[in-house]
Amino acid sequence: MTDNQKYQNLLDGFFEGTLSTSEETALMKRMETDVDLKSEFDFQKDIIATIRETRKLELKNRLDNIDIKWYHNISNTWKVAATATIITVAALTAYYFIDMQETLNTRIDLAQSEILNKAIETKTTDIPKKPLASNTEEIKEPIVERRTPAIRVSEDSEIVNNDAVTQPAIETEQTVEVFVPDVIEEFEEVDNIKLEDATSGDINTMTPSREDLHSSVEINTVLHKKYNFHYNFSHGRLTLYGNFEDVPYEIIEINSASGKRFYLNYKDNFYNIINTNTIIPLEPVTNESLINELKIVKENK
Amino acid sequence: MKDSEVLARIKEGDESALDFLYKKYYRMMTKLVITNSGTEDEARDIYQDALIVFWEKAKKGNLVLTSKISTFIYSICLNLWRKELERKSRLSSEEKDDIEFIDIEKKERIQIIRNCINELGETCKRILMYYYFDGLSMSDIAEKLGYANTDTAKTKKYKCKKRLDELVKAKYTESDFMD
Repeated sequence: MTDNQKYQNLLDGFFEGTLSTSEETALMKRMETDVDLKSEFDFQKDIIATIRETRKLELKNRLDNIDIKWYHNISNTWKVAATATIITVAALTAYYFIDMQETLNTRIDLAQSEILNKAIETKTTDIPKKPLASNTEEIKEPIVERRTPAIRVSEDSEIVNNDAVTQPAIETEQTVEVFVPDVIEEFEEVDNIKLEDATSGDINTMTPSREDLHSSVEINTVLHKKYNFHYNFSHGRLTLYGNFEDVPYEIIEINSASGKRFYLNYKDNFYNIINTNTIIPLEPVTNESLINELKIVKENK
Repeated sequence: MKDSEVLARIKEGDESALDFLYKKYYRMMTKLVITNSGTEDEARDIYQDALIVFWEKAKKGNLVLTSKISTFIYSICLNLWRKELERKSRLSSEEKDDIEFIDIEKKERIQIIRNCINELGETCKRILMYYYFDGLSMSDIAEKLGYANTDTAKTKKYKCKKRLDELVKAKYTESDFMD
């Protein structure tokens, strides 16, 4: 190997970083005296530096071609979109919450209104305590009907004492209307329940029917000279003849296989109410088992 | 993408990992220069140089990260910008004429070499850049460029380098070369 070849190899090794410390020192020492070697060294140094620089420029050009503004705009767009989404969700949540609150408040209002109405209606069931005649009995129970939550007593009803009964003509007509609220929608499902399904006299198998729940028995009480403790019942209109104002009475309505049956509960007694166009006396129920059943119905009512 | 994944991809020569880093930390790194008397262009230049320094170190395979990549690049940016500020400060205090003359002469020589590199063709250019800049071994170059084996890559590299030397020497005038 000639000297030139030897130092050319040392130059290559130097730029490739493979020289040992002693070889590197020897090369540097040689370059101090060898002008050609120094020129070759500088030449190679420039070439390798330019190769490196070319690669750097290539990478920098690659980075320059990246649209940072677009990237950050997209990034910002996502941020804006995300923010807008969060705001929208929050707004919808707030709207939904407020809407629910309003609905709830409305329901509460309605509920309160219903409670108030019930209270008012309940109040109307109170029979006003007016001075009673010596032979009138104390009011023990309110006038109610089975499955009827509210009973309205007409404002113009008057208390009639026994003296009034002695008057020759009908003097006062008292109207008691029993209102049953409209049936709620769920009862559409019980449309197929027939009155025939009920077992006569057996209250355990009694089932409400749509017709039953819609029933409204109009009750009138009449003080009559001739008829005392009588009634007639036709087309859902029950007229009681006699003084029924001093002591509360109750109409008990039950379903049975033979149809609806009505009973009057008055002064702890039960009386049959049958459909009749004529005025007939109120006949007490004598069947003990039926009385017991009616008592159960009354107590469970 | 996690730091370890970025580093692994850079070691494999995946340049898209560099793109990822560039986009991810652009605002953070350029802000460093801009808030320290730098322009937007200077900031971008410094950041790109810092990323390339990181690329070089990562490619050589001896980089052990003891912090996040962003912290590492940030410190490179900081050092590069300090050097640039020092250089600018030195330029303002020294006589510029001689320096400019030397710079022009050197720039001319470098431009000749660049032109010669571009004349080599894409394959030779890749081999030389991968070898002298990216620090790839001959086996890596063979694999990357699809050569049969390491010896083929080694021979190809030798021929490319020799051709470049000849091209540059042919274009240098005697006076340029001797100066």
